[in-house]
Amino acid sequence: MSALSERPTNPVVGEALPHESASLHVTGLALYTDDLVGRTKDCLHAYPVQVFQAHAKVTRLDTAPALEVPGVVYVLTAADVPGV
Amino acid sequence: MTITAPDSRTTDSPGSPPQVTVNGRLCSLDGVPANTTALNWLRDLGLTGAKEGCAEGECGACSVLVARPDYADPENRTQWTAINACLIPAGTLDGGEVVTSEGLGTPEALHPVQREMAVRGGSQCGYCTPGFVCSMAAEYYRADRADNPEASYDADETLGHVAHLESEHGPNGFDLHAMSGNLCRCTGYRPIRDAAYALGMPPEDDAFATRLASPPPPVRRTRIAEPDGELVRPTSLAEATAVLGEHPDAVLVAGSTDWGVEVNIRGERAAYAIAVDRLPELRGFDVSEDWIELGAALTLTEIERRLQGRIPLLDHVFPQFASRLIRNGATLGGNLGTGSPIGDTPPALLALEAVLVLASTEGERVVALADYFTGYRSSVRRADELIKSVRIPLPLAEINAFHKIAKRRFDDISSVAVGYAIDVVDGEVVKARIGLGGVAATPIRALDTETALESRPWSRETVRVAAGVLRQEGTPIDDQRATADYRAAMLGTSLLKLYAQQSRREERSES
Repeated sequence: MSALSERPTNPVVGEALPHESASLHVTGLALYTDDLVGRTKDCLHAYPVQVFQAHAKVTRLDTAPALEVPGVVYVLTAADVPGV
Repeated sequence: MTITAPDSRTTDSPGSPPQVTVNGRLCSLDGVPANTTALNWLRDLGLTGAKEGCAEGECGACSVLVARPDYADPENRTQWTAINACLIPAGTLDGGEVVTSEGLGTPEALHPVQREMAVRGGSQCGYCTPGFVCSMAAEYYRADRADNPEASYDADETLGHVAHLESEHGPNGFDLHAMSGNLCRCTGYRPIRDAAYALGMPPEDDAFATRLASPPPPVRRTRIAEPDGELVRPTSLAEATAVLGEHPDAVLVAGSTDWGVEVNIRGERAAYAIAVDRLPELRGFDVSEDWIELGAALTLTEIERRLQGRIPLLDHVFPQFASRLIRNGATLGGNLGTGSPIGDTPPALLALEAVLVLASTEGERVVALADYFTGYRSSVRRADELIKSVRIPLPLAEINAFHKIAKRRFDDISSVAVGYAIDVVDGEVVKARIGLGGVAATPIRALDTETALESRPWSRETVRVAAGVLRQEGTPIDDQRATADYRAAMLGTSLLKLYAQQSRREERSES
C-alpha cells in the first residue's frame, strides 16, 4: 500500500462525529428565525395574510381594521413595493 | 432542575391565579388570552424549543411532556405523556406540570434521549428534533417498558404485511409508534429509530423517573377571564352541567385535538370554553356482565391501555387513529361530539352497537349511537348536554375488522372507513353489524348489507352478493380526498377483503 492510502494518525474522515449543532438541536436551544423575534429588542415580525380563494381577482383591500388590532404597526401591500 | 410532587394541601384554590410548573419553575398564566395555545405561550416564555410546524397536530414539532395520572394507578402514580402543544389552550395546563426539551437536559448535561439523538445523527436541520426528544422521552419513561430482545411484531399475522406496522418494538421494549406523530424531512428516520432502540432504562436517581412514583398534579378549578374569552374547568359533573346550562353555546374542550385545529387553521375563538378532560365522572372505566363502559373523557391511549385487548375491534382502530400524540389527548366524547362524517371511531362504535350516556342538569339519558347523528355535524345532543360515557354491549361479535382507506397508512384522515362486527354460528351469519364513515353526511350503518348477510351461509357467494350491496350504500361525494366512484369502489371490495382475511385466519388456526 502507498503511504497516501494509509489512514492518517488523527483522522477526521471516517469518524462518527455529531452534527456541529446537535447538542443545541436536542436541547431546544438552537435558534431559528421565529425564535429570534422574542429575543431581539424592538424587533417587528411580518405575518403573510392570504386570500382564501385559489384563483380570484382582488377588487378591494381594506387594511384599516388590521391596524386597529393591538400590536399591528403596519400593513404591507403591493402599494409599498417600489416599481410595482 | 428539581421535580417534586405537588403539596397535596395546595389543591384547589379558586381564588389564586392560574399557573403552570414548566421545567420545574412556576409560571403564571395571568393575563394570557383564553384562546392562546400552550405552544405560543411556552414560546413567549422564551422556551422556543417546541416549534410550530403545522399548527394542526400532524407534525409533532410542538410535542411537550405533561404529567398525567398513571393509567394503571391514577391516584398514586404519574406518567409523562407527550402531547401536541399547538392544539391545547394554555389555560388547560393550569395546575399542571410541563417539561420541554429545554427541561430534559442542557448541552453540558444531556438527557440520555438527547445524547443518543445527538451522537447517532438524529438531527440535521434540527427543527423537528425537540418534538422528537419529548415524544421519545415519554416512551423512555413508560412504566411498563421492559427489555425484550425477542420483541418484534405483536399484531395478528393473518392481516398480512400490514400487521407488523401496527406494532414495532425495539429490543429495549421501546414502542416505535410512540413517535408516530413526529415527522422529519431530513434524516429519513433511521438514526432516530436507532437512537430510540439504543436507550437503556432510566437510572435510579433520574428525577423524572422518581416523579412517577408520586401522585399527579391535583385538578384545579380553573377560572380564566380575559378580553378574548373565558375558560373554566369545573371539577365535578354537576358543576359542569350547571355551567353548560348557563352557557349552552360554550365550547367543550377535552383533548382539544379537533378544536385546536379550528382555532389555529380556521381562526375560531371560543367566547366561553369548558375544560371537561379531568371530570372524574367522565373518566370512568367499568366492565360489567352486560357492557363495557368507557368514560367520554378518557384519552384513546388510556382506553387502549386499560382495555388490554378486550375489544379487538377498537384495537384495530386505535393505531390508525391519527397518531400517538393525538391519541394521548383525543377522547371518544370529542370524536363523537365533533360528529364529523369521517371520524374514525363512529364506524367501529356503530358496528359495536354502542350506546351513549348524555348528561345535563336534568339528569342522564341513554341514546343508541345509531340514533345519535341527525345530519352533518349535528346530533340529538342538546346544547346543554354533554357526553358522559360510551357503553359497548356484551358479548362482542367474533369476527371484527376495521378498514380505513386513507392516503397515508397512519396520521391521516380517512376517505372511507368500514367497521365490522359479525357473528357466524354453524356456518350461518346470525348477526352482522357494519358501520360506515366517509360516504354520507353522517357515519351510518350499512343496513341493507346487514340484511344481505344475516341468515345466509357465511360463504364466498353470500359475500359476493353482499359486497355488491355494500358498494351501493350511502351517498358518497367527490371531495379533496377522494371521488364518489373511488369511495364506492372501496366499499365494494371491503367485504371481500374481510372474507378473504377471515378465511385465511381460520385456515391457519386449523392447520
